[in-house]
Amino acid sequence: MRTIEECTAEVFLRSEKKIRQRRQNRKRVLLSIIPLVLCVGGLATVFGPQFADKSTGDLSQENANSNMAGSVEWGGINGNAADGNGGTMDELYTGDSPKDGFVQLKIQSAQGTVIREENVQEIYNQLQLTISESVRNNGDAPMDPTESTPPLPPPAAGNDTDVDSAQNPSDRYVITFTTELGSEEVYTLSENVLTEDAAGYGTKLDDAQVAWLMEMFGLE
Amino acid sequence: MDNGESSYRRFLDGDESAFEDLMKQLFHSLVFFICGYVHDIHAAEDLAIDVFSELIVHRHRYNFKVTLKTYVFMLGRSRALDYIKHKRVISFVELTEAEDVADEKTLEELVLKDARKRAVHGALEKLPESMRTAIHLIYFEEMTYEEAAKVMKKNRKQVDNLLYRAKKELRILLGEDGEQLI
Repeated sequence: MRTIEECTAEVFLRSEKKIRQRRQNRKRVLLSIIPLVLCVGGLATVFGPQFADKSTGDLSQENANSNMAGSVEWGGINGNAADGNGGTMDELYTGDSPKDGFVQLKIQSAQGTVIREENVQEIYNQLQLTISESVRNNGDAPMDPTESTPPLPPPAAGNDTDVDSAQNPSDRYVITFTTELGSEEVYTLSENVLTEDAAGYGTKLDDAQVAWLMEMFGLE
Repeated sequence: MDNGESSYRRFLDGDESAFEDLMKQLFHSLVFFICGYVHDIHAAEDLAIDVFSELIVHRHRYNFKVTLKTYVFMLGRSRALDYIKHKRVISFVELTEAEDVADEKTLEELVLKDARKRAVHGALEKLPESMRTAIHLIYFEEMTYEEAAKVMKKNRKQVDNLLYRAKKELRILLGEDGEQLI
């Protein structure tokens, strides 16, 4: 059995050892946390803006969907749902609409100089509004444009917006919206008739609306 | 007697020699108490040293709401129980066993100066652990029922019942002589 002095010395020795051990543990924890914090900070700076863009994109998509919901309402009001056309229009404006946001619009010349660069989602929303306004003003069912216009060549894939004026540059334009995931929505503007190609139904626009669309697409 | 609080306060204020006073006051009692659990004087000594080093490392854990003796015994008990839980069972008899027994006797004489108390302590070995601890804390360490209850993590009533039953058992074990000793 040890004397009390020996035991006291042992107590101090052990406590010093424990204090040193605690300090080392604290240092080790700090040293393991610092790279972790730096990694998180780095990742936040790299991927943060992308997440922010995605969330704002979702919001604008929600706005677009609410606009489309508005366009569905007029289909019911003008009494076309009974003859089946209303149902088709519902599909035209809700069923076929892409769930993911449209990418940035960029129009370049052949030399590579940027002519236009803006948010396609905004243009898409404006186009939907124009269609709904036009149908409300006309008060008639969406027309089948294939009866009045000849078949169009298929739109060029991969382009964000493709303005095709191969046959008659002043009369016919093919407008293609491409989403980030690659799904497309193709519209044809021909002789005051705007057609959604996938559904095959179009709506008649007045001259002011056509002029406004032309201006918006920069076709004048 | 303040059971070491004033010494510990002086130590916290920077007087290192106060810790030696504290050790003198409580160390042997604690070793004797832990030995009741682990039945190994060296292990008990080691655990008691650990308890006191804890007082230095975690200086502000003790909040002076209970007596320092109670706090130290609480730490000692939990260390002893941990030791029992984790120690390996050694089947062979150690060569130092005889020496250990001698050490234990010396410690008993050191802590229990009264021969009457030593006679009772000898009989305690035959009692269950909880009764033994209750008797030890109240009769040998002169703790109050509340303090003993805190160390044993029981309530006052349970300690009271344990003591009653322990006394009854001791009367049987010690016979007519024991009646006078208790």
